[in-house]
Amino acid sequence: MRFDSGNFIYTCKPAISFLPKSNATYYLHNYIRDNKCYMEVVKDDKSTEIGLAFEPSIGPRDCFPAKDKN
Amino acid sequence: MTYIFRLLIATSFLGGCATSYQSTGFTGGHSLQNGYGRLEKISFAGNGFITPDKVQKYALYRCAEVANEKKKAYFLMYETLVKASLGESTKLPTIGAVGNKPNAFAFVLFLDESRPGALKTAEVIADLSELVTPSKQ
Repeated sequence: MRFDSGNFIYTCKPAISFLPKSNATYYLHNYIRDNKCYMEVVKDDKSTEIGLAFEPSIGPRDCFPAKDKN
Repeated sequence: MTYIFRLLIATSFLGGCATSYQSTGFTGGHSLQNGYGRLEKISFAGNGFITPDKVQKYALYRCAEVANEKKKAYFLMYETLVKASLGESTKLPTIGAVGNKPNAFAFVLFLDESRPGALKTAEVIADLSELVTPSKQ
């Protein structure tokens, strides 16, 4: 948090990883709960009652860490 | 010193400016977003003079109010899209804050019939109407 020109500026950097498939539609949602920020992904699925379905490939950031340069 | 004095005066005037139950305005309010499958995201944002508990109840009331407008006797709330996709409903909207400004939201599915976890529209409105629009005495 910082104070700039009379305004408090808050920053937050949520992250998530998933493996998207071609021709699929996904919903990305950012939100704040308590004093933390989160990001979530679900996939579009019109066959379900709510029109959405759980995306099984979601995981924490850096699912695929960069390879060593050596 | 003068700055502190002015700040105290301004704060004393603003102390009575807690967010009231309203659509989104200068001090906050409720809003609605479509587009999450068949769910609607209903939010209520408060300023620094309203408690998180009250913001959460305002958001809950707004969910019931929208259900009533749609003539739906029941509604299901979900804290997040992932919980919605897993069928895990909630009784209260998710509450969070940026600094000292609380914000509550829920993803809502409107229903004609009751099912486990669903809230009754008329009951929520009746329970919270006094909080939302206090009667003058």
